[in-house]
Amino acid sequence: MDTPDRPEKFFLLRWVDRVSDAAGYVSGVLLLVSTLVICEAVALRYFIGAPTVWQTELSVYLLMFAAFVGGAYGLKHGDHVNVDIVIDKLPRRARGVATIVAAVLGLLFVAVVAYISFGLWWHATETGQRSGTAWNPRMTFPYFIIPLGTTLMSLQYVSIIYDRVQDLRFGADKGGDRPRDLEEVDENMEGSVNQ
Amino acid sequence: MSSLVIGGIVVLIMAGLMILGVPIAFALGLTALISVVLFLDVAQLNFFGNFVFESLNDFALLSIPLFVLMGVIFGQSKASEDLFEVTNMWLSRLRGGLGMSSVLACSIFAALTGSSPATSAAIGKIAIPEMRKRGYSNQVATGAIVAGGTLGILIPPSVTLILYGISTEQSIGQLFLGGVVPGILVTALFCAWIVAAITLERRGMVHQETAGQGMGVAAEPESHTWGERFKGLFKVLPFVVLIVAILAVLYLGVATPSEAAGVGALFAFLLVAVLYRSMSWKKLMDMSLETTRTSTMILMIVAFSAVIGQVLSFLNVPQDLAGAISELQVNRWIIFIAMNVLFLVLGFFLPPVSIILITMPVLFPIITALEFDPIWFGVVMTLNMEMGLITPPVGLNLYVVQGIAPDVPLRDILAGALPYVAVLAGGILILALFPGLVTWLPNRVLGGG
Repeated sequence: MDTPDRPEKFFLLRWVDRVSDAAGYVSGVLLLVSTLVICEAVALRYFIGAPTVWQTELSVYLLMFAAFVGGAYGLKHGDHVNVDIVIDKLPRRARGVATIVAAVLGLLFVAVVAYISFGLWWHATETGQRSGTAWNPRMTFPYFIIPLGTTLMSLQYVSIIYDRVQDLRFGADKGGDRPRDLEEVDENMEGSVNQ
Repeated sequence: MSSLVIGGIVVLIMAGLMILGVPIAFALGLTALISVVLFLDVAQLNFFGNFVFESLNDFALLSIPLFVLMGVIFGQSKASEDLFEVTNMWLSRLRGGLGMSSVLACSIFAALTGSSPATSAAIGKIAIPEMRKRGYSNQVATGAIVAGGTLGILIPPSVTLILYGISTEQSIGQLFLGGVVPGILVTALFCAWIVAAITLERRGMVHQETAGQGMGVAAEPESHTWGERFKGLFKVLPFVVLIVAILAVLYLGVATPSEAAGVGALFAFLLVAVLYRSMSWKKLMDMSLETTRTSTMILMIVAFSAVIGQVLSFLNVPQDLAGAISELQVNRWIIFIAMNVLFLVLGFFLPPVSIILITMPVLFPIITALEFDPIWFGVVMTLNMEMGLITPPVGLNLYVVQGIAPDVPLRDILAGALPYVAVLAGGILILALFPGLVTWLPNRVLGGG
């Protein structure tokens, strides 16, 4: 429901939104996989006394994937809790500016982490580092999770900042400027565990 | 510069970023980043990546998404309706029985989902209309649900206690067991307040009638035969068995919390799929997305609070603060009260997850230095966090209940819910006077937790 003079979103940024959604779906599936992996380890230990070799380690990496790559999905859908009682009291325009400043600070942070963790990953890849456990996988795979996730989050932040700037220029999207609060109530009712 | 001054500056930076509306997780990380640049050395930034990686490289953390998944599975099933129906069958003849059965249903559902807002929403949707139909005032009806929902973070399995266990390196199994008796105690206290509130209202009936919801028109509670009651009990038995089994496994020390959570989630899925026959691929995908969203929110805070904790510890802030406080030579209970006031104030603005992860790296050395039992403190702190879910301006449960009962003015919800803050404070007092209520069960753990 864009106002007529609001231009369509830049196509690369629309792609960013789509990738963030896909990241959420992949993370969700991997969390289900980690559930099964753990159940398999427990069942093997219980029934035939087999030791747990790779299951613990793999499931921790899946958890990291869901946290960091799923983080881009969470960012797109406003799941990362923040303190909004102060900015909600501001007049509409000031609130818009504060939201953009907060997003720029967030972008700055995830971009720095992406830069640092890319270095870490590259180091692990060059030296062929392994985890040193019984399973002993190459660390290049788990170390790739954080740079991947923070890069996706950086891109998602760029998309969010673009949207908020357009909101300031052309008025809020989708009529009215309080849709987020309504959405929050809906989410809580679905059973979101925002505790 | 003294480490305590540095600590103060760090707190100011953090507060500033949070007030601006930066997500809590990133505000913590950015504060850590700025602190490294200001007080350490830019070269140390290379450790930053390692901290982030290592903070999540912990098998115990996996119990969080898995218990969340278990909760989401139950949250989307019809288990809440059955629970309320059954608790109501057993208690409806008592004065305040419907209110008490709402609280009891909340406490069982809280154990299944571990989520306060989800509990308030699921039970409240059924219980609030029922209570109002039976002539309960708005205050009593909504207050019971707002407060009942807060049990979600106390009654095990509880994500809040898991995070306390991880950030203070205490046994999660022992914390869960420590939460059992206080969970039952607080449920009983809530029920007692419902009876008291109804009695008080009846004495001043005139006021209530002018408020529109006359007590005189209250419908008679239905009566149920004993056969119906036991049949109902049979219906919810599988859920209770699942919770007891998870606690028993931890008590016996045969599985870690993450393993118990994984198997628990699988059984939850099977129970819901078999008992309610309402499972589809689309539902499963929705549930896993829901789990991802909650988990990423919590785990991001875990990751970056661990980083700021490490940086502060490098700067000797927690160590020096603990030293300074123990040099003060004041009674340790004064410090205990001061900490609880701090948690309460933080609870006005921040969710329990953030409060625990932010404060524990700094305050935990003080708690051990003053020789408070760490398990006991974790449970007491959780009771304190429950207050934060009730108190405005953030009090999440208030808004959840407002969302499901939109025709009740927020003023009534607040009036009904606020007495429970005093009830919870009373609960903390009881646990302070009788610490054995918390420590008795975990101290008997067979597997050593």
